[in-house]
Amino acid sequence: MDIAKYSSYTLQDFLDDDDFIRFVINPSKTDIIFWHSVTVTYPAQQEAVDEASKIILAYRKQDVFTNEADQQKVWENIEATIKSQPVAKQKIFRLNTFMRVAAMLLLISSVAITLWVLKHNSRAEFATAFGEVRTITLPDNSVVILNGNSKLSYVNNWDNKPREVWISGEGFFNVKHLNKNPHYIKPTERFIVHCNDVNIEVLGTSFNVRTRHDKTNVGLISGRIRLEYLDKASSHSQRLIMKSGDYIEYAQKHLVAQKKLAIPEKLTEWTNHQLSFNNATLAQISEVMTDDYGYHIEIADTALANLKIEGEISVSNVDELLETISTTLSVKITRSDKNITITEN
Amino acid sequence: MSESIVSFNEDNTAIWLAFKAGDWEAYKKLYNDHFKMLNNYGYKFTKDVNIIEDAVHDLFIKLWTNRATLGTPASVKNYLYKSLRNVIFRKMQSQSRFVDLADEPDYNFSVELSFDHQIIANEEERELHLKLKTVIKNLPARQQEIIYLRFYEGLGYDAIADIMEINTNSAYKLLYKAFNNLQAALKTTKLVVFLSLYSCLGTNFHTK
Repeated sequence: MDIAKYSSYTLQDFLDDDDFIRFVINPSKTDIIFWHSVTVTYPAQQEAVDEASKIILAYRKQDVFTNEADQQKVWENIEATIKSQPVAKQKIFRLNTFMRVAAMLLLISSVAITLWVLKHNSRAEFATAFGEVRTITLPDNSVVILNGNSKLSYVNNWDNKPREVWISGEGFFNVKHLNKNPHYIKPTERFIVHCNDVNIEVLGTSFNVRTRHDKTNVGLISGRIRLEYLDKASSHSQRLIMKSGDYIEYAQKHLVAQKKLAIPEKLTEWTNHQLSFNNATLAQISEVMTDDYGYHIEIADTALANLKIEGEISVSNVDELLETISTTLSVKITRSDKNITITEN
Repeated sequence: MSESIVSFNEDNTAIWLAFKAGDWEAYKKLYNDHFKMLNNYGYKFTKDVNIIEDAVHDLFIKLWTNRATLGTPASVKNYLYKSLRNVIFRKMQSQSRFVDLADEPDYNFSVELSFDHQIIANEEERELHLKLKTVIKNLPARQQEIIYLRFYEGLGYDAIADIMEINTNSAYKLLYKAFNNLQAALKTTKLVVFLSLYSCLGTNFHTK
């Protein structure tokens, strides 16, 4: 405690000093010694110190109401109250009758809504691992073959509305044809595939969709489909009718390629675990290996990445593919597990 | 944060924690340890013993019901004071038909300085005591309460502000006001007390 500050203390200052009040109310040995030294050091302050302690002490002489006579009685009341409320917690949240009915209705309706939503909006979701090819049969018996690292989902309930599925990755669709009268198409007869910014509307066909990294390509093997896509240039959606053998590529929100395939079935070779490419660059091949099989491929430079393998490749596994690449392009391939580095020979 | 500037060996934390865990004996001890001082404090607000007992009853029921969600206060006693104060205010408000909804609750606070106390030894002291009694009685309730919490309960400003539900700054201002009133009223007494005291000692001293 700082003794010097007390040299100029007034009566009021003493009355407002925590240390002083403690000294008056309930002094410790240290307090007594300290305050003795204050009055010895500053004898002029003796008067204020005495006066302040007198005021506090006089004030503290007051009637005390302990109500001791009733201490036991009040306790017994408390005990009785607590014992009479078996579930104490309920008492805090006691609602009036109206609120109780309202809460009940709210509970019932939310359960009903949840059940309805679950029944009608529950989604089926499928996802394949790298390198996995899986065949999925849809509720209408249409078949989808999913390539590795791909996802397919749909709302379980297909009653009274178009069949709709969502895909990312690659899938080969064989859609069951439900339409009987070509002049009148019921909503339930339509089949819509949603990809990123592209919708494919079908009646019954088989086609291949690949949609990765904001790029989508669609190849039609048989039948007819209507493509709807977002076009950046016209800033609204465009439509395109595709026939057997038609192939499109869509990227960065516009159609980048449109061609007729001689043998469209080649698009679906992956469904037999075949890796097939046609005039593909090293970059394109490595993209497929990365996306579908989960490899990490490093190509030393862009010149190397743009090297093209002329003609067709169709191999049944990655080892064969790598061997084909290294023999045709004379590059050096280093491989450890799923990491592949391609450098110039 | 200084809860109490006077240490009265208040260490109830262990009992408080046991009570929170549902220990009935700890709860009972909490009640018995604080019943008298709570009644004494409550008596400053109302002389109606029924209200005080009801408030203590309600306070302890609430403690038991909410024990699991209660925090652990720095001072159990101060926490109980604050809670009791609120319960009493609510009870007194609901008792009067015309509920005062003003921010500042209008309440009474009175301290009875005991007069026929044997410890009051000499005449000057009796004089001071009498004067103080009159002065305190005429202070507004809030000033009386803050003086009580400061000089009787020996509480620091933070604890006082917490119990009275004002901020610490307001507590300073309030006590300052109370002191001014106190001092103005005591001036004459002081003069009397010290003139007599120092004339006895033969010292020529005058008070400020």
